[in-house]
Amino acid sequence: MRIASHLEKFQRLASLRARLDPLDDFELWYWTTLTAGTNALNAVMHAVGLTSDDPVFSTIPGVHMVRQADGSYARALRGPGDVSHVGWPPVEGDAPPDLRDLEHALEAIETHRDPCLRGDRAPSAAIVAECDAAFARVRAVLEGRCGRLA
Amino acid sequence: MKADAHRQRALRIEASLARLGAADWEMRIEAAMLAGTHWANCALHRHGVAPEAEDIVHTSMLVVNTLRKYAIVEPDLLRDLGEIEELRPLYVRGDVPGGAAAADRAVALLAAIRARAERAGC
Repeated sequence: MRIASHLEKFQRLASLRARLDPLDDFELWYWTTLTAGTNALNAVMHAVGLTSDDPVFSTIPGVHMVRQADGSYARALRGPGDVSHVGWPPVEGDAPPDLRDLEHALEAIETHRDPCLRGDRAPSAAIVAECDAAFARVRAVLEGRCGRLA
Repeated sequence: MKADAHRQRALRIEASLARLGAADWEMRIEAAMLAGTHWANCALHRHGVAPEAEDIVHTSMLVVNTLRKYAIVEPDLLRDLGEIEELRPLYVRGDVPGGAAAADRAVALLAAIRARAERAGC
């Protein structure tokens, strides 16, 4: 997806994240944080030239939704575009230090995904604080590469 | 997860979903996917077709024969959940116009999924 679209989604999701209560709405607060972070990851990977920002949309690794001549969308085999998670799919090439920092921050957020969303771990202030700190690192890297965001 | 834990998690997500607006289409679709999956797991556990240690994450990630087994008891619920999942590449991970309407559809599908799960004892 185009960098501009990733940035637009990041800003809208970051705004929503601020409207949700981190504990009362933990599940959606967390998922909003993760989704915004993944948009930041893809924007930066496109910006540094590791992946393509073609306007096709990821499903499983190697398969994207591609616009057809009649305006509909269909699955097609494609090379590296948007990733769904850090390392899924793996992308060849050397990531610069700021991108690696973003990836580590996103991995710190992802640590809580299955235990808290699909398991029995209760959200806590400590988990919220950890996600907040990681999200600040994500935003800093994104803004360093793509400019200051509102 | 235990069936009742799935139900409680789905209800929490639905309560947060009610606070979202039309401009939040990505998270409305994601909330429908997350809550719908918890309702699906609750229903499958209640039917006894899936043990509590065997939860769906996405229907698209299931082994085909496992999906066929689950669909024997909840074909419509799983079809609706699959339709929500199909909205994600275009409107959550993509920027195709029409996200707000797609989110309305996802939320309607979630309501149908919940109704079916409740009929299954959730």
